[in-house]
Amino acid sequence: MRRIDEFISHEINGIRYRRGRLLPFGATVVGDNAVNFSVYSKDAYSCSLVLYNIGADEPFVEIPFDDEFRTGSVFAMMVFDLDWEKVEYGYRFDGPTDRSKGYRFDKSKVLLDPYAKLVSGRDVFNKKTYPDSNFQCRGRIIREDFNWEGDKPLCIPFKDLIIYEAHLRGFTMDPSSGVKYGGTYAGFIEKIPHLKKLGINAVEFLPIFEFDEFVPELPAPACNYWGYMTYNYFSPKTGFSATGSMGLAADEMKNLVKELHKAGIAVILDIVFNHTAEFGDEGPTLSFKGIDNRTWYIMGEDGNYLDYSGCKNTLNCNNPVVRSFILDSLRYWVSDYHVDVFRVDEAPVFTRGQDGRPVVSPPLVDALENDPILSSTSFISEGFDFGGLYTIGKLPVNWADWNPRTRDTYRRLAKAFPQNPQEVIDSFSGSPDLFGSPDRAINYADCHDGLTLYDLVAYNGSHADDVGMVNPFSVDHVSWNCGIEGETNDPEVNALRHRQIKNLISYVLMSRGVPMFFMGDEFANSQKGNGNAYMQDNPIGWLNWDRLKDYEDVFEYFRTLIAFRKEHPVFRTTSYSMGYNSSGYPEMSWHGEKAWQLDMRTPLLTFAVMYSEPKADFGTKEDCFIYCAVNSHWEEHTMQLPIIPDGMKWSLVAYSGDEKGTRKGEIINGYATLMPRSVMVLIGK
Amino acid sequence: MLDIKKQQDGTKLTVKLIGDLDTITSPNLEASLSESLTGIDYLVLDFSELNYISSAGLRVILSTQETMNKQGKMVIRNVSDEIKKIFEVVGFIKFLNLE
Repeated sequence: MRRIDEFISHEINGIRYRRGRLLPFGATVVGDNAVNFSVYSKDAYSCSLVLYNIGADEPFVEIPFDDEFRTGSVFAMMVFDLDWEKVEYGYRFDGPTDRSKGYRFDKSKVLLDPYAKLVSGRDVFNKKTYPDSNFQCRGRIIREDFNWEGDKPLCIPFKDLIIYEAHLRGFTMDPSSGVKYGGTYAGFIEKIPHLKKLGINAVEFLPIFEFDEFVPELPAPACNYWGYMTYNYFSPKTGFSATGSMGLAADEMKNLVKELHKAGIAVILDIVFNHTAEFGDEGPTLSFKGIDNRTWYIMGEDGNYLDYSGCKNTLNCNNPVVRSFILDSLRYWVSDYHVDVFRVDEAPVFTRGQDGRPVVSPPLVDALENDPILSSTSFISEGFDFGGLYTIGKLPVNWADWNPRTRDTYRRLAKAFPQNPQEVIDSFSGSPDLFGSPDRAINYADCHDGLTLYDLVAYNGSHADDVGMVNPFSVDHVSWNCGIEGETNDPEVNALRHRQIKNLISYVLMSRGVPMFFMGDEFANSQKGNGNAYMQDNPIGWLNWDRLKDYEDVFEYFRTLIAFRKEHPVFRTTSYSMGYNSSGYPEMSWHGEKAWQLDMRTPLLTFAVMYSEPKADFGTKEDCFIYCAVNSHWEEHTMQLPIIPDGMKWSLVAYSGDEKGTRKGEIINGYATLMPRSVMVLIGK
Repeated sequence: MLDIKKQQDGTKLTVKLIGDLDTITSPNLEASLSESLTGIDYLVLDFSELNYISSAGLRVILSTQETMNKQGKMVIRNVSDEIKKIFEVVGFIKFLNLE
């Protein structure tokens, strides 16, 4: 039976319409022949809906919202008989313009709906569909149904995750990937077998929400490749789609999520709610700025943008309207895209009040913890913002944190740089001084930010001048080139680099906490020493899959330790159990060259950590001990192995000095000799 | 515009689609098929003169496949490379029989 609130009451230029429904926000298909439009603006005087045929310079109709179509601050209209798949839409707002009070209304501009489920205008990556003078980023209307075949978020606990950070486009864009649809959601699917073979169980995508490649500070050929410039929080990036111009990016991305889940791989999205692509005064007016500037952004007293993000504006996350918007967005990605976890860029912005100051019990964080749809969704924070606010270890239990302190500790350890021994012990233990439980610590030696794992051992610093640009964010990468800067044919240097990569990933995978590494680390991908490839949409930023052949030993080493970690729950505890367990041994113990003796007064370059994993405590098939010996020193060292119960023997699981992996399973009696700068992992059983 | 040409031979129905399968024409195809599928155990969709298929069109094809899974078989013939790419990229190809 037809609803009685769907009868037509108005007509303009042959387009029939009526008052719409206030909720949901956005453009929603109603039945076969109507679309409901709803948008919020507190400060606007008036609003009109602007409709274009796809690709048209001029709209085919502009429909003002009558007064009766506005309730509170919401404008709502239902339009009938639209060929809505061939329509692009936007809104034009009129309102006060006094910038000293934070108003930015400009009725000459057509604006993108913040709730648009798909956006056109960047259908092909790094290419503008429309000229700057026209309405550039336009809303599109989509079907939201999808055949999920019973899929839902995997809900893998933090403690069990092994995270692979990846850039969706860069993963397969290089021809060496050999995929049919390079640089797209569909192309990524073709490489899932590689990830499955590697053994990881979560992919953390750099930003995938619709973003702008074109930002004022980046002249071509550089572009905003990484994507930390979101301008829509409901649309997947159409430029990552093989079907972008056909309006099927949402289906394509959903298919990727479904296929990853089928392979047992969770999907983590890096979300950027701390700022938008609209920058500050000099930035473009694409959406929020022209719709309700004072609602969306944290403003100063004279109407200026307060910048806590480093990107010229800060989203007003704890404004009630913006807070609801963020919740709506995240609920949508969980319910409609089955996303498992969100990684929150510059997460402290979530804890800032509407004046920019930190608040106790920030409403947004409370809401995320208690939301009915997000109750099984986890969050990972980048725990510091441009304004200097630091929240690592301070967010609720559904949050984990990237752990940059451990990152630097691992790097110093690899290059044999003297440091406080307690830092090393804390890092391997899951940072008990920072977190309530070890599974809140995301441990990594590298990520997208900075040098790749290979470049950390091949360059003494960042080389970011490949497109003739000086990198404005250069930092000390705590790297060491093993003697020669960059690529070399020197066999000794290359052998050491192979070893150093394995050493670094050993620290990450043999520690308590949640391990993470960056795409391509498993075959020594290089960005040619570029420590900040955010603008490198070229072979620097793309994976070179040819290296998989040259670094097969590295790949196998990663595989071995990942599988080993998954077999042993002692690495994956949710408590800092340091004391004796039912084995009669401490669950984690520390050793020097002599078993049970560790000199904490010297830089910790040669040491071992031993885990005891009794089956009675961990539900495993047999009792075992795991001994991970680290020799960061430039000289060989011999380690006395701890005595383990009668009948048990130590055997070799992985050794970074064993280039061909031929010593796996070798029985080690009494002492283990480690060559300079190496790691050895033994199992006692 | 979409022209729908149907030819029935016992329990086999062949439907030829000529033109565009989009927001406007998808409901027509859906209605046309729903009135013709009773008693059909073999449905052939002929795409040889189908120029364009939209998201809405894809969904009509998928839901028809679901219907035919319960009562027989459906095949799609003469699919252009462009339309095949769409089926492939969005993962629908797994649910369909293309000949």
